[in-house]
Amino acid sequence: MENDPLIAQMEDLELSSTTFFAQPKLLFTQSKVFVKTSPDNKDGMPGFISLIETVNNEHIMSWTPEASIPSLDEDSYVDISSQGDHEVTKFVAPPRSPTSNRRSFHPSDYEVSVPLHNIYSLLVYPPRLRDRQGSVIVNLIGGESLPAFYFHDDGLASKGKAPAGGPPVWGGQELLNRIEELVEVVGSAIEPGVYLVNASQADKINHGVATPPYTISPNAHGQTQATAQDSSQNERLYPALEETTSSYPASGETDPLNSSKGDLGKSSATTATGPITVEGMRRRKSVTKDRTAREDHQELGSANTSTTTSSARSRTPLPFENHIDPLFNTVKEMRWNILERFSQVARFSRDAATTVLDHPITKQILPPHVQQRIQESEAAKRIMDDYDSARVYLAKWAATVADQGDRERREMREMERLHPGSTPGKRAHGRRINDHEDEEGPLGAFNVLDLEMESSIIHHSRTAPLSPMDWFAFFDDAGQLLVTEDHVREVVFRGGIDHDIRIEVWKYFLGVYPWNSTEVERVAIRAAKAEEYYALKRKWFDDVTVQETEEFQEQKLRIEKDVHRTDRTISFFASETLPNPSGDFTGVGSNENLELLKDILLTYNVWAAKPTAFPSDIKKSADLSSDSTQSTTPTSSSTPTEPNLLEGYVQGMSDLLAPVFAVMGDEVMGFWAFVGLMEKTKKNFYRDQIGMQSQLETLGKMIQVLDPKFYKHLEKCEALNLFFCFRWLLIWFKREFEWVDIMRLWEVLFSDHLSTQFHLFVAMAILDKHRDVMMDHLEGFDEILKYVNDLSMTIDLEESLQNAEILYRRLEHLAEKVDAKRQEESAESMPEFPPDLQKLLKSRS
Amino acid sequence: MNQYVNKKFSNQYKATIGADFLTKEVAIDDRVVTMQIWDTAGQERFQSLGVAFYRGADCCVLVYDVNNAKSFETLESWRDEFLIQASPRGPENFPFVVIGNKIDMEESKRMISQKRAMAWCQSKGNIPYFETSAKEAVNVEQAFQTIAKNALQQEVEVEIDFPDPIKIDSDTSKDFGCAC
Repeated sequence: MENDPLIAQMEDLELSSTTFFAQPKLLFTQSKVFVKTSPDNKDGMPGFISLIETVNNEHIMSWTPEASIPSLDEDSYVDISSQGDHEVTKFVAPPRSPTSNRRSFHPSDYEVSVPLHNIYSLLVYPPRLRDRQGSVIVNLIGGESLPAFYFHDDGLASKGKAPAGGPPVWGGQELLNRIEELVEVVGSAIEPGVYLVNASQADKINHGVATPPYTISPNAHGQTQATAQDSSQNERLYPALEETTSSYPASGETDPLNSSKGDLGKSSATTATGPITVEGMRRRKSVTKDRTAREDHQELGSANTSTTTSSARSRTPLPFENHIDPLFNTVKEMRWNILERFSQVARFSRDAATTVLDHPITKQILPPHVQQRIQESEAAKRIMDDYDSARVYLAKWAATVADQGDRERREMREMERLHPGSTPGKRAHGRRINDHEDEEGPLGAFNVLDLEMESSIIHHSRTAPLSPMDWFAFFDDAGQLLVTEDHVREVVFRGGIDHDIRIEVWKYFLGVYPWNSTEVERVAIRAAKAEEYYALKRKWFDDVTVQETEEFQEQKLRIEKDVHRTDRTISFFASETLPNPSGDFTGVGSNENLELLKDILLTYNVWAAKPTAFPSDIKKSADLSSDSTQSTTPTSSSTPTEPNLLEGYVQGMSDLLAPVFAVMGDEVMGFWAFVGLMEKTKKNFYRDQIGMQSQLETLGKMIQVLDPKFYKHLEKCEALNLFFCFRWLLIWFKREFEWVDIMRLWEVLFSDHLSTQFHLFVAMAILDKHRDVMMDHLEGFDEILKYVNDLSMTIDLEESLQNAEILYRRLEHLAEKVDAKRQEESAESMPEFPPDLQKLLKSRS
Repeated sequence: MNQYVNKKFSNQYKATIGADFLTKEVAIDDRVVTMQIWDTAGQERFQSLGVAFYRGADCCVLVYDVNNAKSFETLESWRDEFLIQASPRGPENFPFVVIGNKIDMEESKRMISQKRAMAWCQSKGNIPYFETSAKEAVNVEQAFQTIAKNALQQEVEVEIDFPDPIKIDSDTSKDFGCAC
């Protein structure tokens, strides 16, 4: 039975042993169920969701925040709760009104309990392939909704590794299963994901399940036959896994009473009864060491528990189960998603917040009772105050909704990539391609070409980061690279670099080490670099006359000002162990690392002003990164004109230095790595701003060619200057992603694998993700700027990189098509592919 | 700006790159108007972005650091640059407001006297002048009231109906670094 997938299910059990008490019974509980306390709260508040049977045989569902449990001691909590009425009443407190009128809130404010018979419906969003959490929203009969319960999937992953390889059970599904055991639950045939609880006949008709092909067994505590089928639902939840688990038996045929070990899990899954034990409460711990207890449980369960097998079997499959087009639900999801968000903010208090509600879009989306509640919500108002206009605010919502759709599309692609033919509709990243149809303009002629692409799928090639083991295997005994430089570039482009070896690998990419160097050479290089650096530093550090010049003073002041507010939330730069030496920046202490940032930047000024010969390696990378429109200008730093263009420190440089210095960990290497990075980005800082201008223009052309409709929209908004992308490009998205993501993104950009301007594709990918929302909701340059600025720290890096690669391939494909067409026909009928864009494509330039 | 709109101050606000803005509703003479307060990058190098950010502004706020002479001395060029890039109708009457910030620092650090600043403001057509501490919320409210009022006047003069929010550019003058 080693491979019996049911073992996996067993592993998933929260409750594994039971003893019968004539007391309130905890039928089911699950930990790590999250409630989001604000829209930007990523993880939310962890808690326990439970099903309880009261002494009156009433069934209650409740959610209790972990924080409400004294001393966070789950075990003792469980012990207490299983001992008597008093403690248990904590669970079965009367339903707290979601509109509870409170101004400040406390974890316990989120506690909620509702009798199952007060539940109107459940909205179930199973986790997606790459999404760690799915959610369940409970709608009450009165029209209110409880905050969404998020079932994190992280534990599930580990369960998924159960020897059996059987499908893991998602917490939300488990909850649904348990509720089905207690009350009648029918899945709507109209709205996938909607499950009606004790639905009236009218509701059933409305939801297309009017003549139910099953008998209802809503008896809350009565006896029915134990289910045999429900575990197979889980199978349907995870179609992606089916292929690898085809041996998963239809578990329906076995009788739990007489079942083998493998069936224990399944039967337990349906029969959790009685007070919970410590063991049961501990989620993710090995389920049961005590086999006897389980067998007891099994008997009790089959004797005591009611299940509605048939309804479980006949309910509408979840959206994901049936390969229903994920887009099909977008509108509905949008509605519910917003409801859900409002239900979070609407819980606290009242106060007028009409801006959003006055907007016609809101009116369409929100049912009246929700609108009313928002008007009463202080929290909603606070959120809105933070934003510019209702339009920007709504656009943000719409974006989160669209994100779901995107995710589904991505999963489809991912599945298609991993299992060709497994998804019904082929969906490339080319949904926009047809948008060309009625567009005119200089590039309109490209339109016809694109249509062919719809049918072909372009995939990304992203993989895991380069591991230390793989990295060291690249070298021979002398420490010389055995593989080609291009190979390393490709590997890093595809997966990035494990953090432990960044410190070494970045030195190659940033020109500190030549690719063909041996270990002996690198030792020498390090020594020489140190000497060179300190020589440069002495030029200002030891020279009072230099320090007294107005120019130096000005630079120093500027650098100090910026350094002291650079990445102070990152532990490496956070401490205030030193006084601020300048005394200018009131109240902010400094630390050694910050002081070194300053020194490096000041030394960089000296270095940049020095018309020096350049190590050949950096020259090469500098040439590679040369800006397309600048190709006629010399790019090497040996050009004497360059220092005049750069003229010392420019705002933004401290942002670029901080991660490089942190990765290198010391002043000398931090400096040289920064020099290498500046070779790639220094044109951004030139006085004439030509580098920024040309990049923005190139990005504009990319939009024009790949997404003419969006281009038109930007034109209409007078936003074609793309200044809202200025910050992105100037400092390579430094302010847009979290610290760890920045390191990953930058090494992908360092790789220069597909393009030396890959950051433009990343920019395009982020815009592409938001283009629908921007087109639907944003009407002016200011709104777009605000919206884009506020995307900061919300952007999914992996997704952006995947899509950037796909966009690269699309552009490449388009260029090839144009070439082919121009060969076929006369050059007049097909305009030339824009040279700026040609240059982005490394394979062609 | 953050002090005014969000009642928050931090000396760790990152240097503005590109531009950003905040909005605030203010009541001026029985009218509630939405004020859009823009913050643009403080280094001259990025002035070329001004075309996009200054256009349509109803008032321009020049901010300098009273403890930094250089930041005061560059006010003139910021003002000129603004007028060139925004090219407002009637540049001679376009409303400016000057703010000398960081008066919370010790007196010995102060480089620009109130007298000197006011003299300059007078020479430029009586520009209203405020001395503030964004850190300690001194005079910030008052300054922005004047800004809003002058902006509204400008808006009324320019257009009879005013569908657009009042737009204000706050040139954080170079070296002014932190939150205005």
